[in-house]
Amino acid sequence: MMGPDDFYEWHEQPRQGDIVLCGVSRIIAEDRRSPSQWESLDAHFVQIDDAWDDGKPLGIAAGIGIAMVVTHDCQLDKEWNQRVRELQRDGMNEEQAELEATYDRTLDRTLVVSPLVDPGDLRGGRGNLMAGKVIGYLPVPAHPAGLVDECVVDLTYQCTVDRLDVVKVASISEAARKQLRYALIQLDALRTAELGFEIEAIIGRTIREVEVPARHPLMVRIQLDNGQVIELLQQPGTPDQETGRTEEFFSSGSES
Amino acid sequence: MSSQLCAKPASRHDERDVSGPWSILPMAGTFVERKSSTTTRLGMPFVASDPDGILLGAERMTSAAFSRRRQFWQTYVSSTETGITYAIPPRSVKEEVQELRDDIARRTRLTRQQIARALGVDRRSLSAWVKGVAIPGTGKLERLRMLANVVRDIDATGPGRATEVLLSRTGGQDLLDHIAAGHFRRASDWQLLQGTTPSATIVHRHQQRRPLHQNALEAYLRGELRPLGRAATIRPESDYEQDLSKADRMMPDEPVRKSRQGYR
Repeated sequence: MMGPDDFYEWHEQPRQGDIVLCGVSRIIAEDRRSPSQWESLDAHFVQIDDAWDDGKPLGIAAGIGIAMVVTHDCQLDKEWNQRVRELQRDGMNEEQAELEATYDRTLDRTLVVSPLVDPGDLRGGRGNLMAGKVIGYLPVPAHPAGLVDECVVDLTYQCTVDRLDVVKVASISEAARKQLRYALIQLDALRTAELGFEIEAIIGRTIREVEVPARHPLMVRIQLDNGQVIELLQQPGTPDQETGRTEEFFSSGSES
Repeated sequence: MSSQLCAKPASRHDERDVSGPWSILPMAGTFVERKSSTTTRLGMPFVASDPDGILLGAERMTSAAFSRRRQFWQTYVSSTETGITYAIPPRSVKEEVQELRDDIARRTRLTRQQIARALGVDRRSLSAWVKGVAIPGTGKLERLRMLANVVRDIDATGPGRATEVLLSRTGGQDLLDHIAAGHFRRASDWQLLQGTTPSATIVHRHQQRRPLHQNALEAYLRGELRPLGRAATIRPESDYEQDLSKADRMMPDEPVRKSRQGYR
């Protein structure tokens, strides 16, 4: 786990990874079961009678919690950007357009947050959780000013909240944000996200684009953030009898 | 069907052509314009003590107003202390159905199918009534009148909300179903049925431990924390675009696993 000095870093603007105080909620079944890690978040149960129109109620567990913003930075100002461009197209200069969009309270009202929970309430072992080894959880060190106890972000609980009802508690460093994004990818999209990252780590650059040229299906062309292009060439070989794949995919490469 | 007879004061231009208390008569055309939902007010109370006098008065009218006399005379005029009530001369059922249907459609986004549902018939029956090919039964016509009145009543309470209110469901039924089932006695009954929207029960759980957010909450209550501001970073439009055609090429196949059956 990262130390507090590496983890926390104050940024004025809202960003992915911000730690906030806000309301959180989730839909629950009629028996109102709360897993132990969410008991403190499930402070109130709301039951809306006959919400399903067949007599079945709709249950909601809600409460105040401390949570991490998981919405990507781009999404946080998506509508703001759209509005600025719209105003500019209508003839307003950039500065005025930005100002007008900034005061428009209807834009970018929602963000997605995941609550912070006590790792002691979770299955999986406190040690593994705080070491960041359990998919779905991001370890958070104690805040230097005591605003946040040592805990984990429970990425398996995500809810949409209104920006206007959110209080900022802390923000985190770029290194910590990378950990958050990696944890999100692993939980929601790719269990095997390593390959691209490992290539980036080895070559020391960020991959911008990957393509397989139509005329050269055995070639993988990787464009890097500095404009360089790496071409990986797969050697023709005999496919494996079981998998139908050749073994030496990255057997040779050229840099241009 | 009776309506309150009301009108705006006649214009000065009209006053020259009429005489005596019968200045009401040139305006008859306005009254007969059948906007039963529209309530206009008379400039002054008008009391007719002798109905025959109305005819005589009408006969003294100018030729410009004469053509309206017959139409006006066909209405039954009676006096009240505050104005005049009149009964609209009998209209054909076909005309009334079309008028009511169009009024409902104008004030709502209900389809003809939905209007027909409120009457307990299908769209073709409603269309046949409008064309005069068929005649609705008394009960069906009353339901159509009720629907129109309900729409006006909702419109008067919250303009533009009629469709939303009519289609809101409680107990598996929307207000159109309730009208079709004859649950409405008055147009304002929609408010009672709206009152049966789902009730909510709130239960507060007693917290056994100090919650994780307590320190932050106390800091907030001391005024030490600020609301989250707004993100304002100019980004290229391409940051907001995606190309899903790349998914198949770039995403690895998920391994096939035995998983839990369903979610219930």
